[in-house]
Amino acid sequence: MAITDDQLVALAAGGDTDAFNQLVVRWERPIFALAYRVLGQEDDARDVCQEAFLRAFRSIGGFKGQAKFSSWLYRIALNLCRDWIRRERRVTMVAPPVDADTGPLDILADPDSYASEEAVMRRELGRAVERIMAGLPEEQRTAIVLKEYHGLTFQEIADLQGCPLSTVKTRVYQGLAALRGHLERRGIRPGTALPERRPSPFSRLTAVRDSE
Amino acid sequence: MDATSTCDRREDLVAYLYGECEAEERERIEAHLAACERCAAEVDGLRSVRRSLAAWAPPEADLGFRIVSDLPRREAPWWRRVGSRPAWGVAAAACVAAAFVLGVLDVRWEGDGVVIRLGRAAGGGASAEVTGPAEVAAPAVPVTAGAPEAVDDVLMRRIGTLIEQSERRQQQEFATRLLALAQEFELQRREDQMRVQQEVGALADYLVRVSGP
Ligand SMILES: [Zn+2]
Repeated sequence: MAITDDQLVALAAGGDTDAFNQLVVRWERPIFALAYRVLGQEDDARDVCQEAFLRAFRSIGGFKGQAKFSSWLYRIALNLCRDWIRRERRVTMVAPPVDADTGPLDILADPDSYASEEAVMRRELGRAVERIMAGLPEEQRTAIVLKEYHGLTFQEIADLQGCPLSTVKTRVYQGLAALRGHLERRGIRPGTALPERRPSPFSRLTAVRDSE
Repeated sequence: MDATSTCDRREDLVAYLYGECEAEERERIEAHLAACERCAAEVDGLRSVRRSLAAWAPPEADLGFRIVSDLPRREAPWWRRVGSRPAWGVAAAACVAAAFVLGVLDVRWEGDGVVIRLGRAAGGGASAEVTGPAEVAAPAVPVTAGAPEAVDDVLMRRIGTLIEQSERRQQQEFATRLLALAQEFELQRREDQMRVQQEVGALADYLVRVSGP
């Protein structure tokens, strides 16, 4: 049976650096992803991630298991993100306006072309989402990130954000509604954002041959 | 059941969207969605946004953070520990042991006691006196009022035997002690380094804040 986070935490609190490093291996990707989606900058996300683990390491002796280790780690990382955003507000402000972007999103609205270029479409859609998310208020963005990509419960998010449960749901709703509006303005109609119906193998073959 | 209140409660729709409501609540909302086009369209729209969100992946970053130090985190700094755990005493003992092992101790009778010098007389060079009369080796040596030469010979033979007998044990002990000492200093060095890095980081942060608009 795999060793649990709690067991590793107990070992790490007793001075076992290897045990702590196992926790790092488990959680560095999620923490980096969290920081990246909240901050929007790879280098800064990496710094925040590293600093979060350093802080966790330094204070693991005082972590008494009153929460899940991951929640505790998320809290450390989110506090660092918030500090970073406060410091870098100027940079955040000069991020490109969401609607000024005239990226090649037409491809998404055209059912014939998107069927042949799933990967390209997905990447473009991901970039569009990234830009729109960057324009959301930080609380909405963080709530959506924690819910959508980290699967936290609304209650866990409320604890992390220090706000009532209903506020979290409102933040998620408002954020999603804003995203929907932006995506629709870019020609992505509800239900067609990702191909639900697969193209037939023949049309795919044709598309590949045409592109060669 | 009033339809309007459900239409107004977007929080409920969000909980339903993420499957985070009780079975009873879910049935109530599903019944409402079957009857209310507006709410059904709203939920469809939100589901569509969630599918779009799935396309956003973070970059493949090169992570691999590892904690490489093994700091004695809950111990007091070394300068406070010296009193209770005599690091310098250990160092001194280690040096004496080393001197014995390496054969660089010059032990001789000097009239009023035993004098131990560093650097054997054969080397002829400068010798550093490390202890006063009699204290270090005297307990093992019967100091009598005999001829200085004879006492010197007895003393040297006695010490030579002692060294021989205990050489292996002392070498091991010496190695162990030196290792412990080296580790302690290395850990302290790393801890200091980390602290310096933190201070520099804090200073940089401060300068950024200060130089900001
Ligand atoms: Zn309704």
